[in-house]
Amino acid sequence: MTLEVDRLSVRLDSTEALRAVGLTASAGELLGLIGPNGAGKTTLLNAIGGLVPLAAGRIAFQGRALTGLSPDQVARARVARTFQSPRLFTRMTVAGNVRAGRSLDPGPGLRLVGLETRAHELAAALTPGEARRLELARALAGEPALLLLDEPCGGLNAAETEAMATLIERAHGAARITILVEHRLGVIRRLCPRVVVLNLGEKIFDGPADGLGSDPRVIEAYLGTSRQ
Amino acid sequence: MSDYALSLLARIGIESFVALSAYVLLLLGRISFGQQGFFVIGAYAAGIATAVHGAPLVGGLAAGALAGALAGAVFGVSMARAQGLYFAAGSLAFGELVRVALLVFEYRAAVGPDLVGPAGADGFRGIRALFTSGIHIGWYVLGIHGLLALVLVATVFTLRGRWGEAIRMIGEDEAAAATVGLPIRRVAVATMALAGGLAGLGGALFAHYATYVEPGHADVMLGVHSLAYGLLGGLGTPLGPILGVALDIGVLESFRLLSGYRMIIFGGLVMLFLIVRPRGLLDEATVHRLGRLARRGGEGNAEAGAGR
Amino acid sequence: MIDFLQALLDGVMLGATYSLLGLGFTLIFGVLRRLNLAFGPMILVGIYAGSHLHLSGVGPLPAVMAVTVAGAVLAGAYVERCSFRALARQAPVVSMISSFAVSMQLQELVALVSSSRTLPYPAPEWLPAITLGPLLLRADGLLMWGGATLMMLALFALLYRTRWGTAMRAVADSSEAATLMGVNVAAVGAAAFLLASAIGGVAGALIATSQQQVTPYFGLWATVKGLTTMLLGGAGSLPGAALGGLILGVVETETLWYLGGQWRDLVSYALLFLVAATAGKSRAGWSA
Repeated sequence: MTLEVDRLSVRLDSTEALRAVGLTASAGELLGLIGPNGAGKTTLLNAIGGLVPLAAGRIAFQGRALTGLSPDQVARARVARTFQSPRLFTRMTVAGNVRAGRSLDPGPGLRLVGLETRAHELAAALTPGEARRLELARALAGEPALLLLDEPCGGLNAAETEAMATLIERAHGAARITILVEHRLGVIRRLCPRVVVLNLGEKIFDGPADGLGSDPRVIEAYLGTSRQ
Repeated sequence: MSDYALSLLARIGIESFVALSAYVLLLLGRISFGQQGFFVIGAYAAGIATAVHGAPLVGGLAAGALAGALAGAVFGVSMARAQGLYFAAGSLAFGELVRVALLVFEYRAAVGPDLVGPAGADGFRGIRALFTSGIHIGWYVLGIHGLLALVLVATVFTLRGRWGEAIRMIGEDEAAAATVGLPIRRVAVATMALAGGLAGLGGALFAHYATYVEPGHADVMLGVHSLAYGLLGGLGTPLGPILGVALDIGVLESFRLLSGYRMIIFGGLVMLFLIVRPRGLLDEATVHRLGRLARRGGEGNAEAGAGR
Repeated sequence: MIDFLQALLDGVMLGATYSLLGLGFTLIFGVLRRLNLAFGPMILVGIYAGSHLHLSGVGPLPAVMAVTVAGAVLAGAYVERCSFRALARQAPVVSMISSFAVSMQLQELVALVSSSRTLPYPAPEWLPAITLGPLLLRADGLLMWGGATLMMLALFALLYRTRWGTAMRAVADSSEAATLMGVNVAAVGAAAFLLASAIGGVAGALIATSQQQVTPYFGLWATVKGLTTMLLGGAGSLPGAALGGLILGVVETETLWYLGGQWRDLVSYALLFLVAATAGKSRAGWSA
């Protein structure tokens, strides 16, 4: 089971958000995707998910072409994602969000993220940290083969970040590809053996995480953004 | 009961169908200024069925609902790629398109000594199936409300089920709904067919109440009011738009003092509500709270009963 | 052939006023990303105000037209305050619905003040018609075309030669970038709205003086024309709106000549339906 992204280019508002980006990933990989702001990380996830049209290139998953599919068709190809800011169905209950219209039992998903006591409350009542956990539960409930996580630790404090990282680690498995976009390099180092770095729409690094610190292009890209 | 009060009740009943029609689309996240188009299509179809082809009243009502549903499905398919503002513009165009098309639509057949059927700009007279069947108008109005109650119950159950959940999810965040695998286009077309059928049924009921329908009945004001009823009455429950209808026709219309300024007041109310309470009086949060109160009340009673 | 050309000319002249209506729509759509469905009724207030001035015996045509524009701008300020500024944080569709609700208020206001009557609007007495061989350029048509073209030139000068215009174009392109550059987006939005109202007022005045009357139906009619024109030219494009107006005007006039009034309306609405159904997701801002 592989994900193949081949020379992907995306245009947004007359700028090239992604320029000939390519990568492959195989089952069991927990891949980190990092880069400075505006590098195109979210755009790449959007492209895989069918939310933005491609200017060039193709995407294939498990041998099937994802290029040109509508977002719901991509989802039915067992691709799931979370968003940079959680996009919950605020007017539905917590349990309803996990189920999200599918015929599955939300219980296990809620227990996994520790929200089973809040099952019947409206999702609007959750704190930002709980909202992120709910969004993760919703993504996991369909047992996706490809999981795209867009900054799941955004806005979380240190303890919540640790808990979230543990959750992601537990949720990942040998039958899944997980792509994790994160700014917290600590989380990336903990979870991701392999990291891809984007800068200004191009891929500038693709290799083992411990090679990050010594790669000249990565250092140059991050000059000015001091984050540890 | 006075004739005027009866006519008000009839209007409340009939317009509730169109309000429900717009409501269902509002839940889906679509603003439609064109439900009056389906209303009139249903009215014409029902009239043709009973007055031109001699179908019984029930057959006419069914024909109206079906015609509305079909038109809704066609509309849904053609509007599949339109979102938000574009959908609204297209719906406005659709409503007017129906009106203008009916101005040239003629379909008359000889029924006894007369020529009966739609006659373009002159409209469609002689839809008398209600009166020839001997049903008193008071019973018919009661029947309208009975049918409305049935449809309401059916709608409540539909919206609580999977289809309804899908509608609400797509309505709140279509991209997120797609990301979870909801078949957006299929749900949208089905919902628009449902909405068209609801409005068409209202039109069929109207055609037989008034015995006369004309292209001018595809009035943008009807469409906009139907939309506004849900916004005022509340989007949390199908009772919301009904509440909106009752408030407008029952209160604003019936007070002579206010009726001269009805549009100014009504328009101002909508404008204010959109600022301070955009999901209406019976919004989702309120309905949820009322639901939990009711459940706790039930539990309280059970405990009291057990403790006795 | 001559009939075709004559209708073409008439269509171009009428289309110029449609272009103005479309430009007004596009201004608001480009800067505020929202549809103002009260556009026509706002102008309606203006033309009826002008009409009442004329009836009171006071005004020569320029004064009547000035009052028309002023009325449209005043009504526009009301709509902007209630439906756009107050709802700036909500989704664009909410403003659209609110503007329609406010338009109902404006329509009823006009109906109450004028008893829903059709009122006369003055026409200029001093404008000649031009003949080009067998073709006639009617005086009122020339006035519409001339006035609209002047207004469009003024608009483009304003947008490309003044600071306010540059600010509007910046916000239309990207309100986030404009904010970062220190532009007061809310103020620019309000200014664009008032500018659009003024343009609409001019369009209304030109149409009213051409028809020498004002009717309550003008409200929704003008809104539909402006919307159709904007979408025909590609929503958010100013040159597109100008072109879209010409196209709509010509299509309408040719259809009117060859098929009659009912078919003209049918084609006009079918056109709106088609562009609304086939328009893709619009790009933010103004193109070109």
